[in-house]
Order: sequence, then structure tokens, then C-alpha cells
Amino acid sequence: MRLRLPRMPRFIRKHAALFALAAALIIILGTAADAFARKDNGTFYLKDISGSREALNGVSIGGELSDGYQRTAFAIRDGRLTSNTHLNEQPKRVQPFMEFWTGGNRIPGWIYMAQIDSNQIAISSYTANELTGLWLISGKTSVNPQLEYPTKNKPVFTNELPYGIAKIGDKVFFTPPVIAGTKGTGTIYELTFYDWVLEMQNKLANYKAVPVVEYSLEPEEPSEANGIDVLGLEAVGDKLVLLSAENETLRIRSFDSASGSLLGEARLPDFRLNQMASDGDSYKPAYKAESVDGENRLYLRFPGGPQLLLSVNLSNGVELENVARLNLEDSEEEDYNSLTYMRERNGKLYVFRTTREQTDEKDLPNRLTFPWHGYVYAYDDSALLYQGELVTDINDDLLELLNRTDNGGFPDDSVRYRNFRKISIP
Amino acid sequence: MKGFYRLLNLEFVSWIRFLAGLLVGSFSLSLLLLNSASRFSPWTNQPRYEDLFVSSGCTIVFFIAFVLLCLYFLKSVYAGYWGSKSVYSYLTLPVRRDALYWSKLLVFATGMLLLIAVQLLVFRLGYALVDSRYTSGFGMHNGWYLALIRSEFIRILLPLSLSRLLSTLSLLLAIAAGLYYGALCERSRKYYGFFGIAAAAFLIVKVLLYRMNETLYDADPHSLYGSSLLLLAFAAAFVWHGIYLLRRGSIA
Repeated sequence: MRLRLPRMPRFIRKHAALFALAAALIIILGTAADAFARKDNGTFYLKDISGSREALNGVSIGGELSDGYQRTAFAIRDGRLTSNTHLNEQPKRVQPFMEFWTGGNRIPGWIYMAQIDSNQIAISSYTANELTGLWLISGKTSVNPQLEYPTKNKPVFTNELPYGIAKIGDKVFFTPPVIAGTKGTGTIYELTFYDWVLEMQNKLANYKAVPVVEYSLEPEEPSEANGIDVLGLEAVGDKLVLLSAENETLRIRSFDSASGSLLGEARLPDFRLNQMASDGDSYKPAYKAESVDGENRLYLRFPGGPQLLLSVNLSNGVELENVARLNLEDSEEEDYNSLTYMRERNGKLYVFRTTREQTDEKDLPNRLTFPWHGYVYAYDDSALLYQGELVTDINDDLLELLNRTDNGGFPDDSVRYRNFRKISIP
Repeated sequence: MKGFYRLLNLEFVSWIRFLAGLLVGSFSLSLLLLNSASRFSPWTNQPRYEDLFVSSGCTIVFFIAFVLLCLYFLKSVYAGYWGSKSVYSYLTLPVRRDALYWSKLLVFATGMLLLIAVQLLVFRLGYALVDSRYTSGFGMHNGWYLALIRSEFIRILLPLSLSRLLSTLSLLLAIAAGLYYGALCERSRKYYGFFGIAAAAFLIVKVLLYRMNETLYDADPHSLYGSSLLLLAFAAAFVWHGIYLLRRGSIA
């Protein structure tokens, strides 16, 4: 038996194809228009937490909140927030920072690894492709510092060895980040790498590290408590910056990389090292550094009870500009992919940072489901002028993890999860 | 032109029964699947909507509906040779033979667009359904937009950037023109035409595989303009030679 449809009116029969085509196009184009209309409907505003927003006058803080499919570019100019969402032609992935292997001391495009090899320190360099996340071994070299370590059998260092590496143009410098009590002369070497593929190890003699700077490892007032802990070496422009903790101060020395002459130094008082950093004014040695050659500035960040943020001006000797002690709220913690960006502008220190909330609720499946926050701070020489939070939908991306029964899933996929990126304060 | 328009609507009316069944069927089956996939309990994982949409089987429903549409198109071509052999009447109609070609192709294309439109409706209604079912009461703010741009499947059907739009259009055109051309070649015993169709099919599969897994190819981005233009060239060649075969009457 054939199914009989009711006969359509003549008018509709005459134009049926046109109506159908129009209906299809209206739905398809309407959905597309709807998507474009909604792209900026996400939550995006600046919530004041403390202080006055006037502290943000005269400065522009920009960045983006992005996943692989879209990026919402935002700018806070004079305290006013604007944002605009762009869709990506094709999903993009952002490679995670490679700090796991480099000990936080990031040199763009390069990864350095170092290890103790009998009495020598063997250093390998790798070229790192930020787009693909691939890195390839490039060169090798070794340094043989004449030091007597306080721990006889196994040398112990203040920081991981790559903290002692700094790169100026094509030149690579290294100083061992030794702990207090090490005997000998502290030395900054200029390294020469031999090509790992083309040259054989027996030519190593031709690649001797050349001492550029020598400095004392003997404290001025020797005692049990105050030795010299070398923290690391940084490069700003053509200057080498040596960071050390001595006599409860943070000592920052600037050297000319060509002649090795001392250009200036500064000390920050009330600075104690503590690997655990549980109490008041003590800081973990594993600092993060960012040098901005154009500004001749070095930005330093020491994790600790209160976090220490420092901007150091190296234009003329060494000048400590802003020293901010950032109280990490009890409920918040730093994560390996949290971000801190700071710039010194108009005599103030502006900071953008992201942290993950910490809760005591133990029945949440895992700590990766704790919410993220993005904060803006303005400091005037350690006084907090303003703190605000950039409120977004970033934590909605945790939906599937919150609704998961197993502990699987890992929200570290830059395509699927939004995150703050490309922060800049021009 | 008037003849073409009448032919177009006549052809479409002959498709209506099938199209109505196909669209209503895929619409209701997809929603039923989404409904059962989103019966969350505290012991089931509750994924993002765009992932649930794929795992519920809605994309397979779309694929099957698309294949059925293609088969029906071929059937509508071959039906002219069955029974009363209406193809002879068509070829003697007082309209240009191009009109016959274009009316068939346009009705097929309209069918494709209708299927896509219904799929977008399913995606929208399904979103409202699933969003209300997350047991934590935790939805995604502006989630409908996010699901649209994050779903690999929807980004093929509804591309929101120029390069992807061109790619989707060229895919649809190449599939429609290629299928029709295949039937015309077979009818006129011009089997060499299948080489072109095979080449186009290879390209279509390659582009589709790429676009279904775009997040895997992030380090090797493609604008796809090259493949889109090539597919459009294939489609144009199929149309040109298809009309040529029809004009010559070699399909009779």
C-alpha cells in the first residue's frame, strides 16, 4: 500500500524547491550569524579586590585568553577593560613551557642541561622549537671548576645547574651555583660547545672554558651561618648578572661580559634562603627571571611565604627599583603552568598573574579541577596600590573533569582548555 | 529560464516524500540518541556537549542520511531508464538540456543543505537538552557558541572562516557533481570519466580526514585553498563534461 501524502496547494508545488532552499539557507546562515553574535558573550570584566583602580592610569595591560579554537584579546587601559574574540582558522596548540628540564631558567629557543660527570660539569645544549615542542641536541662541552665542595662525595648546588647558564648573543656563560661552604674561587666561564654530531669527543681540549670573571666565595665575615650561596647567572643586554645570597642579603652584581669588570652591585636586605620557605622572610632559591634588554631591566621572582618580586635596573650599575612582597592567599597556590608577568612602568610595578585556587575539600576528584584566577596588581615600592581580578569563564572548561567519576583527564591541553597567554604591558 | 524553474520544482516535488522521511527520520533519531546518551547518573562521566554529540552516534546518523541522499539521487537518475523510460520524454522536452542537468543537480544540492540545516537544528535543540542534565548543575557559560566552534564535526558543516567555508563548499560541489557525472559516464559508456572521479574521491577523502582531525595537525597548518580550488576545478570539469554528454544525447 502506498502512503499518500495530502496534496499540496498549487502555489507551494510551483515553488517548492525555492522554499526548501530558502529554509535551508536561513537555518544555516542564521546559525552562523548567531555564532558570530555570541562570540563576545563570555564573562569578561575586572573586579576590584583592593585599592583604587586609579593606580592603573597611564598603563596598558594586554593579553589574551585563548584555547585552540579562539582567542579573546583583552586590554586594560587606564583601568578600563576591552576585549574582542577572534576565531582561529585552524585549531592551534601552544607548547607548554619547557621548564621541567631547564630549571626555570629559560633562554628562548634553547635548552641547556648540565650534570656532574666525575669532577667535571658536562653541559649539553639543545635547540628548541617552540612551535612543535621538539628539541634536538646541538652541542656539548664541559667545565672543570677547581672547587672543594662541602659535601665530599657528591657536590650539592643551591639551584639546578642550568641556573648558572646565561646567553648573550652567541656567547654562553656559566658559573656553578654552589652552596655556602664551598672552597675555591667562584668563576664565570665563557663556554665553547663542540658540535655533537660532527666533532668527536677527543677534540675536547680545543674547547676549554675560558674564565671571564672571578669572584670570592669567602664571606666577608666568616661564620657558620653566613656563607655565600650562588643562586644563578642572568644576562641583560651585554651584561652578566650574578645573583647570590650572603649574610642574609640578596647580592646582585653586574659584570661587563667582554672585559669581566664589575659595573655595579646592590644588596637587598632581609633575604634568607630556605628550601622549604615556610616562615616569614625566607625564600626558595629556585627563582624565576626575565630580562628585558630594551629596558635594561631584570625582573626576578622568588617563591616563598610571601612571594618576592623585584625589578632591577641595570642601566647604570645596579639599582633595585621596586621590591614587592606578594602575599599568596592561603587558599591559592602556584602551579607549574601558572603565569606571572611583571613590568616596571611610571615608577610602579604592574603584575599580572594566574593562580589555582586551593581548597580543603578532599573529595574532589583531583586538584586539577580547582578553579583558576587571573589577578592584576599595582605596587609602588612594596605598597600594594591595587589588586583586581579578571573574571572570565576559564573555569567552565573544567566541566568534564568536575563531572567525571574516574580520575582521568588532564586539563593541560592548550587546544581544549582556555588559558591566559601573551600578556604584555607595553 | 522559466522552463528550468518549472523543471526544478517538478523534480523537487518528486523528491519531497523521500526528503521528508529522511529529514524527519534523522532529526528524531538524533534527538533520541542524544536523549539516551545524556541520561547521566552520578556514576557516569559527563563529557562536554560537543564530545557527547559525537559519542552519542548523531554523526553516524548524519553520515547514513547523507549516503541515503546520495543513493536516492542516483536512483532518481537511473529511474529514467526503468519502466516507461522517462529519460526519453525528458530529453525531448522543449527546454535546453542544460536545464535538465542543473535542475537535478540543484535539487540534490538543496537536499544536502536541508540535511545540514536539520543537523544544526539537532545540535541546537540537543544542546538545550544536555545542558539541563549535568548533575552538578554546572553548565558552560556561552556554551552553545563554544560547542559550535569546538566541535570538529560542526566545523565541517558550518565553517566560520573563509578557508574552511571554501573547503566545505568545494567538497559538497565536488560530491554532487561527481556523483551525477559518474552516472552520466556510465550511461554513455564513457568509462574513462571514472579516472577523474577516482582522483576527486581521493582528494575528498584526504581533505575530510584532515578536517576531521584538525587538532592533530596543529604544527602543520594548511589553508586548504589549494585542495579547495582543485576540487572546484574537478567539479567544474564534471559539470562541463556532464552537460556535454547530456547535450549530445549519448546517455540515451
